[in-house]
Amino acid sequence: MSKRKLPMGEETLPIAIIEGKMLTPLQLKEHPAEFGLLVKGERPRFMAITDDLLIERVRQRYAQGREATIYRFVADGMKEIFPEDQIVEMEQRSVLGLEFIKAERKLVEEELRIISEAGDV
Amino acid sequence: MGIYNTLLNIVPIHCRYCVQGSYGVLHISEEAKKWNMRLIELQGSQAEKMPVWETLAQEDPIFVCGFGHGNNCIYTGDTETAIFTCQECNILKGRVVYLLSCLTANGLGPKMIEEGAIAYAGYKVSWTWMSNDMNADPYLDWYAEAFYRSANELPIALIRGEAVAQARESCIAEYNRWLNIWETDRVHDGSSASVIKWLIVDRDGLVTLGDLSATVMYMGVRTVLDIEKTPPNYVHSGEIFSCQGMLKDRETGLPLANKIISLMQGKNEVVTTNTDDLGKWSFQASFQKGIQVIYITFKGDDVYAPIFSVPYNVEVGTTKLEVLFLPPSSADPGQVFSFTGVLKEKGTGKGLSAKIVNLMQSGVNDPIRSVVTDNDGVWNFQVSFTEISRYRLRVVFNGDENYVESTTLEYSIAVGTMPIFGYDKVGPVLPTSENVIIGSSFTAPESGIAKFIVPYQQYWGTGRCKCAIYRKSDLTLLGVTEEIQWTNILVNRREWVPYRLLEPISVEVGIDYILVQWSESNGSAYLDNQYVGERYMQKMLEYGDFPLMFERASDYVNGRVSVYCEYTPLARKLSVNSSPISNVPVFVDNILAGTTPIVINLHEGQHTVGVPDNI
Repeated sequence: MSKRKLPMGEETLPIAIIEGKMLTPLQLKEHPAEFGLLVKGERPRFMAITDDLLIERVRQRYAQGREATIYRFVADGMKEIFPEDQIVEMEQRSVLGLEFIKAERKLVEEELRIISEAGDV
Repeated sequence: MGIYNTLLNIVPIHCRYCVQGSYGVLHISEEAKKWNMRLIELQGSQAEKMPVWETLAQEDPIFVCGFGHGNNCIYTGDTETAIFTCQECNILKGRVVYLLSCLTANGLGPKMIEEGAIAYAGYKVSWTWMSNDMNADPYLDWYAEAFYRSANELPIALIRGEAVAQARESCIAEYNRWLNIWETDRVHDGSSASVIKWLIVDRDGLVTLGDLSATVMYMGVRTVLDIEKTPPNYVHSGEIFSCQGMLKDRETGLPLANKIISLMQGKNEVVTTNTDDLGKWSFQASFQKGIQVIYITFKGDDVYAPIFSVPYNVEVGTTKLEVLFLPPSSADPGQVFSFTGVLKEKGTGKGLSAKIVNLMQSGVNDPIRSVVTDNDGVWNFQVSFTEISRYRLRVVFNGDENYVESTTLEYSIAVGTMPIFGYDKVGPVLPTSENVIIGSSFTAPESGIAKFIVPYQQYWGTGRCKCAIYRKSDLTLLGVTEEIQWTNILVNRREWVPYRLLEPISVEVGIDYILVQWSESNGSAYLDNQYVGERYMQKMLEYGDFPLMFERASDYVNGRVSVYCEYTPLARKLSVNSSPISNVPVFVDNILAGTTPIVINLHEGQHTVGVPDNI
């Protein structure tokens, strides 16, 4: 089985806040102590993944042309949601926006697992 | 408990999202066929509460698959009206239910279990997918494939015979398999992060409830049900027909003797028989008029698995009305035209004599004429209208003791030329009218009675549409038209469609009126966006009742919508005087109108005015 890798472009998006700074996986590598912990599957003590970081990731991914339109079988809500609308909802912390923030958090968790498994970014 | 090895698949197709979804869930049906499951599919307009509930009551499937729009407490069908709700889901008692819909695990799923469903599988999140081409089968779509194959794995695993708990694990494994594909081979795709994100959300949002050891398949030794003589497509009411075949062991090919074979109508047995020593069986049966859907089954026993034939539609006493001479699309006032055709038995094509057929006019409850068919089943109506207007006619046979009712299509006849105001050219741009009230304002050139609103439209699926007229000065709703239900027959047609105002509306010279159309789904208006000086108006609103005030959107832009109003000018006054005597009878169109001196109100058109030769 092939080794899992970070999706293309994700290495350029902030993935965690360490000492108050949003860091991308590439920048994280420059902090050997913290990066070493991540590779071991552990979390650095002062690492945070805030909602603002998650929104910023989606903004940057959209700017890179990589955030997608999504579709849903929802009875009384938006059935087709464009990336720009996803960002607006997230910024407003609407019910939908909070759902998108939660989804982005799941992606970050997955990417941290991939970094841990690969030992690199 | 519902009947094992039987699946009801509910497949709405009304919106662009459902189009792809329907392709996706039809793969579940394909799997059911492979496993000899009895399959009942309710697609499109059949994917609604009434047909679904009737099917559940009559056919009693153990396994119900549904996809469609949903929320915490609702699962909806083809017109996005509820099929199951937290208040009404007791019909699911004794069944295993799988819903590919949003959020139903938060309320509806638990309620189903409370009401006696065996098990439920569905999503606590808004099930989300991505797509490259929304019109494509998702299995052939670069992005959608991962989502649909993963979700479908749960019902397909159940069809393979797995219990609910196992099927859930199979489904999670399929999500993970696709995640792995997107995290390895497809990692260079620009949208891979989004795909991964939403696959994880969907996977983690899957919920199973109830008896997780439940199955939907009775897994005995598999059998083969050969149908050597199939039921006929058409019989007369009460006519006896026969069908016959053979039951075999699938593995060995050996005939199975002394097994019960049933001819079924829904969950009701019409007749049963036992196979003979050679595994042969045969039935004789008859039905009353109607379209009877039947199937043949071996229901299984301790050793052998159940098996079902395909469903057969047996038409009993069905009829059809063929049109030989169409009414003209236009006629002059008073011109007599023919509307002729033949009433036939649908199955044999034989003409039906001495049957009463009725000529019906849209908007009029009672027949405007009735005739009796001749020896060959031929009927003929000679029709004329004097008033300038548009008429819709169809011929109806109401059926009798032995024959089922039938009808022709409805034909529109323009009698005379009604003057119009509006824009009667076809604009080049197609803005949607789906859940959007869209129209333009126009000035009435003279006073009259508005009767029809005629938009140029394209419709590419099923849905309802209607029009309305507003007064521009105060944006007040003046009148609403009939509603037209677009059917799949009309898909992709583009045309001027006359909508009859339910009540004719007075329009006054020099006053501006807004003519609008509104569709439930799948509709487009036409717009001339190059036109400067007038602005088209639109208001996004979920299809329903027209608002009493037309609140225009603030961002409407230049252009005018292809729509016009057909009206009858107010009556012209005709004065008739006589000298030296008065009280002379005056005839208009050979009908006595009164005596001189007289003022007669006449509608526009040609009229004959006369007085007696001798007084």
